[in-house]
Parts: sequence; structure tokens; C-alpha cells
Amino acid sequence: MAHAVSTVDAPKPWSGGDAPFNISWGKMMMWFFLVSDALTFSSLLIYYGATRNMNREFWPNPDEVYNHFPFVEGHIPLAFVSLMTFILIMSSVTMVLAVEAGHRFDKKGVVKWMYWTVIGGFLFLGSQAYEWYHFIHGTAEGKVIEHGLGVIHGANMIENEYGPKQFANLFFLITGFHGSHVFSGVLLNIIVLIMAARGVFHRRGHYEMVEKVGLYWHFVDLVWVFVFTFFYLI
Amino acid sequence: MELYDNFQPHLHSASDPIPAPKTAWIWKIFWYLLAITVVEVGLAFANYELHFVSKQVLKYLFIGMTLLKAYYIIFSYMHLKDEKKGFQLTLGFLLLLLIYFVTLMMIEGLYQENVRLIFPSYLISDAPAFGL
Repeated sequence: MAHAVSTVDAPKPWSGGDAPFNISWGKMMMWFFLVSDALTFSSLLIYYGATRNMNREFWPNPDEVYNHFPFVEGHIPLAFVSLMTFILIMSSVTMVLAVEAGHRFDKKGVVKWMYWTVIGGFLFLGSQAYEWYHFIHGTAEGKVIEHGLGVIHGANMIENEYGPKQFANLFFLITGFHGSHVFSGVLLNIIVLIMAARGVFHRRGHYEMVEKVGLYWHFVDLVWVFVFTFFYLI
Repeated sequence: MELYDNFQPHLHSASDPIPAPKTAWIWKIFWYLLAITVVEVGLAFANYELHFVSKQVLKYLFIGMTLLKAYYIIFSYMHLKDEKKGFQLTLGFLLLLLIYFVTLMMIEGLYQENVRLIFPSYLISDAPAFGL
């Protein structure tokens, strides 16, 4: 250790004025925001699991609840939500391609892939609206209440034809919370698309804003991967 | 903002030539994600029609495949594998809390089910609108 004589004056990575993680302020704060948002989504999904354990014998089989597909008569379990998953994965891919184009300082590429990402986001939102419509309106047969109180069709916050009250409430809460994230993600994507098209990032010299919005958009995709598993597969 | 902007991303100038895109890895991960999703949906659909394996077994398979997909999204698409180890661990600490929380709440749910089965009038507002 012949060289470690005057360690007092040596700059330390954590003593300030440096970026020890070699990551910019904005990107790091986006990661920390995503971590806190992940905790919110986790608590919602974990509560879903606990409630399901609480009502195991009443809990409906998801294959029999979400089994409609546009323009198709009859019941096809899982098909529509699989399509929604595919749309979101696809728009995640176009987002990565936009980030990659940004690394190469390729303005045309960024604009093209951001455009497709926005389209994917709108497709997903439309699919979710369709999903909610059918969940709320329910089947023609509905469910007959035992005490002669009539027939329930579909679902609202008080009663539903599928199973326990929390089944519909948690469906609305969790897919709705995720949908609002998708919505704000689409808005952010549109803003970044316009800024990229107007050459703001080109003048700035880097496309890091695309990366930050990309992180958020991938997080939305990530949450959907979990929602898909716990709501529709299991 | 100057105060916090000690780290600057690599700056380009408009006259730099644009390199050719390198997108092979993006599509590779895409095919992984698609394949895992297809296997998941295929298993769920086949089991719905044929009932060849118990739902309990499938459940753990699905959770495993979901975590695999999450790994690909976070490490490849969100570029976490390019960040420093310390930053990865800072974010990964969350996972420990979550494992604890999941275990705790699953046990709690099963306990509450027992309570409900023994005292049907307890948690009456949680009973489904039909039956009970």
C-alpha cells in the first residue's frame, strides 16, 4: 500500500459532486418512483391473493368470466386477454426500439417507434374498455339470487353475478389503476413524440427523455404481466 | 438544475453520422416473452378443456413463468443489467420485503377463511351476494 499515503485529500465517490451510480438524476428518480409504484401495485395484488384465499369456495373460475371475443359468437376463454398482453408486449418492443434509436441519435427512428408505441397504447386502452363493458354488463342469464330477490346481470360495486363482492371490486380497482397508468403513459409518450418530432432532443444533444418515459412504459407492461397472471391465468 | 446535473449523458452533435441499428437482441427477448406467454395461455387453455393436471401445480408454474418474464423486461428492456451492481441491489432490496409480505398475507387469508367458516356471521359483509 505504498500509494495510499494521503487518503484524506483523495476524492470519494459518495462525498458529493459525483454520480457514484453513473446514472443521471432524472433517470434514477424515475427508477425510485417506479419502485414506490411497484409497492402500491404489489399491495393491491397481494390483497387480491389474500381475499381469494379467504373465499376459496366462492371464487369464480376466470376462464368462465372473461371468455368473450369481438365479432365472435360463443365463449373462448383467455383469447382476448392474450391479445391484450400481445399488444402491450409489442408496444414495449417498439419503445425499446425508440430508446435504441435515441442512443444512436436517430431522430427519424425515435419518431417512428414512438408513434407505434402510442398506437399500441391506444389499442390497449380500447381493449380494456371492451373488457370492462362486458364485465359490467355480464351474461344474458345472469345469476339468480337465492332469496328470491331477482337476477343479477354483470357487476357493479355492490353486487355481481360472478362471485364474492370483492371479486368485482378488486377487478375494477386493480385493472382500473393499471389502466390509468397506461393512460398517463400514453400522454407522456405523446408529449415525448411531439418533442422529438420538433427536434427538442436533437438540439439538447441527447435523447435521455425517451429513456425515462421508456422506463415508465416498460413498468406498465411489467405490471400487466402480473395482472394477467393473477387475474386471468390462475 | 445545474446543481444536480453532474452526470451528463453522452452528447451527440447533429453532424455525427447515424450508426446502423443493432436490434437483434431486442427481437430475441421479444420472442422469449412471446414464447413464455404462448406456453402459459396454452397450458391454461388445455387444462380448462382437458383437466390433465391440478390447478395448484399450474399456479406455481404460472408464477414461475411470470417472474421469468419480469426478469427479461426489467434486466433487458429497462436496461437494468447495464447499471451498476450497487444500483441493482438498491432496487432489489424491495424484493425481500415483498416475499415477506406475500407469505404473510396468504397465511392471513387462509386464517380469515377459517374464521369465516367457524363463525358465518363474522365478516358478513364479505359474503357473496348470492348464497350464504
